[in-house]
Amino acid sequence: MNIKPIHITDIPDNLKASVYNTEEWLSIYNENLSIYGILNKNNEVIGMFYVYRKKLFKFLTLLTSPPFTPHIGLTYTSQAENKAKKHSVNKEINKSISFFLNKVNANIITLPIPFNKKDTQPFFWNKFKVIPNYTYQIDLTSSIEGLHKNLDPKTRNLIKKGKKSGLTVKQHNNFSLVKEFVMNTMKRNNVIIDQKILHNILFSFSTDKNCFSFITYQEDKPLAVTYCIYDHEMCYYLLGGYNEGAPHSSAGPMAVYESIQHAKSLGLTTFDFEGSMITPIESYFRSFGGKLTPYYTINKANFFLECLLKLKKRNTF
Amino acid sequence: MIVEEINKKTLIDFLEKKKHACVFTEVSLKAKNNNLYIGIYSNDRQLKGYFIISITKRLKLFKQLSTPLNLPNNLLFFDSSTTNEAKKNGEVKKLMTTIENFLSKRKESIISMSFPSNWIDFQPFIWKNYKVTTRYTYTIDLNREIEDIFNDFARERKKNIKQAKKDNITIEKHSPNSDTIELISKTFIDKGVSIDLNWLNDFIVNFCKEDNCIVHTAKDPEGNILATNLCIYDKNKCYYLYGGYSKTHKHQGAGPTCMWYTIQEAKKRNINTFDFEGSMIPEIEKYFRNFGGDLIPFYQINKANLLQEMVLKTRHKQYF
Repeated sequence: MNIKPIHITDIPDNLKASVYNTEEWLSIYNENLSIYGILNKNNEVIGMFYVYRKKLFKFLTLLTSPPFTPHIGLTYTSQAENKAKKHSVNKEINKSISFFLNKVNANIITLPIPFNKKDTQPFFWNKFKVIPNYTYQIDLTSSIEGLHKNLDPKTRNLIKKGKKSGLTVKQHNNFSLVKEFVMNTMKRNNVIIDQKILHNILFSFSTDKNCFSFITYQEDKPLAVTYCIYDHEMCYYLLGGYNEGAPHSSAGPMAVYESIQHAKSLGLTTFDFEGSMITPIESYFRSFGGKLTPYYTINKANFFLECLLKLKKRNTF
Repeated sequence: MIVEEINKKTLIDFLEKKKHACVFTEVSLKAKNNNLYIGIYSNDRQLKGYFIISITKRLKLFKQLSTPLNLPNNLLFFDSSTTNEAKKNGEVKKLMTTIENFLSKRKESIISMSFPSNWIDFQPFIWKNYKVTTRYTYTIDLNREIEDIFNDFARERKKNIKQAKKDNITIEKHSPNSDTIELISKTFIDKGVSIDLNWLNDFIVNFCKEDNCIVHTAKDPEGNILATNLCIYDKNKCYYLYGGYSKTHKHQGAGPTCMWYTIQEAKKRNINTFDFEGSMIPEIEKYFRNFGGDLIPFYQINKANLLQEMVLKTRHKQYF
């Protein structure tokens, strides 16, 4: 297998199933994004992945996933029919990627792999640390009653209480409000986000065929927003925010639950909360009754850098 | 939840009450070892689960809390009664947090312990700066049709087995005997893998019986022993434990055919799953892979103090 850079327009259609592998999504990024094709012996592009370069302390290069993208878009097709052969193909591809990454000019590598790619042994054998991260996923093929039943009783009560106190949830296209709420929420939580990319997501990427957004209102006052993107199967809860000036504990859960139901009405199979590894956010996502789903990050730096990184990222390095 | 050490009798009573059968727990209870049994109690002091650990020496100086030797993981079992998904996740979170609290209060400075593959939530350990690393095993679902299981073998594997049949290699099913012990021991020695031969002997002689063990041996038409394999099982899983190969009488199909016969025998005994028990060693992984099972991750938690981790990193970069 060979790994070679490819242009965004050269991605074969059969590799664009995920919203995160579409031209529309990848176009929101700048020259820091590098897309790579996985080529078979006949030089045909059978797979792809991408990496995003960031500078740390001005002189260290970090290779990671692009902002707002949960993984590196690794996908490939295989003609293998039986399990043993499929495993061998997975091994060969991941081995090629791990050797490729070892040669890339980067000081630190931290790359999340899509959740459906479970075989990380070739990375382990090439001295990467393979650490699980987690997301919650809700099976949207369950009935509405099933979805409701799996909610944490506290969350169920919050939604009920919100409805009783007159809160309403409406779908909308007011992405300026989404941006405002998200920026303020991130600022309050001391989270730095790339504003240009956020703007690109909301105003260049978003169409009525790949995203939706809900707002919870108290009369005319917006209290909380959700923004989700989707493809033909998966819906991803990408952004959320709330109005600090008008906090209401039911507002967020109502908007999220409405998003889940809307995703189901679109015929999608899975609602993915997109993480998190941050305790209070994890607890909030957990309350919607999804299945805890691991995905893997592969991590590497030289020995001395890893020892230094241990001081801040001990569970990763 | 409360986590504390329990004695063997308490665990045996618990297993009988819950009708929980795990062959490796039996191995631990019956074979000679210094394993510690840890009980998990609800707040009203009902025993709800357990896991098993051992204390070893690392770098000859430091005490390490480990997966017990000769067990694949710590055998964590917990009897949960909740059906609501959100509550179930919350309960597991609480369980793992309680286990982490228990481990953090112990005196051992190094912790390196694997969990069974059905446990996936290790966030409480990650949040406390453990490195949670991923290991793998292959398993075969024995509820499938036998032809489908065989069809998932790699072409090379199917060829080995067909060739063995063509060359009149015979496979015998039997109780473990001195030939079994000798062949397995020699194979370990030849490969330079350390093994406690006294433990192995004791295990095979005193533990392995018809109702928990399957052994197959391959012989050539002259009656020379070519290969053997030994598996143990409970009602849920059959585990491939040991294999042995003759250096003097060789046939490429001997070992794979023994394995194939064992898989079929495990299915006949209504066991749900065949588990290859790893491996993370490339050559062994490739051998197992060619039997077409499902790749199943399981997790190991690792932690030491900062300086120890940096020293351990020099040899085990992927774990520390």
